[in-house]
Amino acid sequence: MPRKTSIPKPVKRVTKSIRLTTEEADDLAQLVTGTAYAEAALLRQWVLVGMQQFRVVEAIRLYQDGHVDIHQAAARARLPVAILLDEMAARKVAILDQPDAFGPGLEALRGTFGTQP
Amino acid sequence: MEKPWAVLDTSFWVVGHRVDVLTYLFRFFTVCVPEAVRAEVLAPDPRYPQRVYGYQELFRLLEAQGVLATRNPTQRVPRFHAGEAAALALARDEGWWLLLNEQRALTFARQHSIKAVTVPEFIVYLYDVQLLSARSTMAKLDGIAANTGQRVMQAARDAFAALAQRRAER
Repeated sequence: MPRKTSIPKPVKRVTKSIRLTTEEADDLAQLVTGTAYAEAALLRQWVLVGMQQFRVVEAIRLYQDGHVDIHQAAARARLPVAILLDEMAARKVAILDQPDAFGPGLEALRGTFGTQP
Repeated sequence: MEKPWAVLDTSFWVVGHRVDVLTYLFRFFTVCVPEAVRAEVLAPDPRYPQRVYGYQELFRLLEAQGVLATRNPTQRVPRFHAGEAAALALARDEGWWLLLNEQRALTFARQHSIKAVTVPEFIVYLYDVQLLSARSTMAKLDGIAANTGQRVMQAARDAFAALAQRRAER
């Protein structure tokens, strides 16, 4: 008996239009000329990448302004916490900034383990 | 002396890996990880699903060697999300050390008398006990400067400078 193959339903797409200057449109046409990509497919790809980058930048801004904690920022960026922490390190975002972040832990280590090697 | 237990939070693991101090932890502590922290550390990057970051690879390696124990709290600390909530609760309930490097959870830990250690504190301590050279310590402090506030960095550099001066290494 032949196996039934399910044909995935095409995802509904919505058209969004943008207006470019003549120069920008020429630039875009030049970029695409001679490649295997369709202009619309490339534009779509760039929009999706740009959206993700924007999500990360906005999530980090909200974290820096104190509006969200690290986990809320990660959720907004649609990234796991560890990946966002790595992004923050690369973007020079402070995740420790209060005076209590240095001192008590060092004293506790000295008190427990001593200072001799 | 039996090694005291320390609970690991995601923030310490990620930042500690950037400056290569994680393996020193096991000289001092029996390190354990709640499931929620494990899931955070090993979560793949949705942008690059094939990619495995160095801190993830090291985690898997140490876990396979049996040096990272899994322990879970009976309850979580409210107001915090999965990983932090589990790590804070476990450290508080068991009276264990907490290794973390994120301000909000750190402030909570210090307010609740949990023995918390941050990455800059651990770096300076490694120099204090002569496991790190002055050069290596400076490089590691430089390595965390990007995501550590200026006041914290200044305190860390001052503590390091005082120790180095005492040893005539600066």
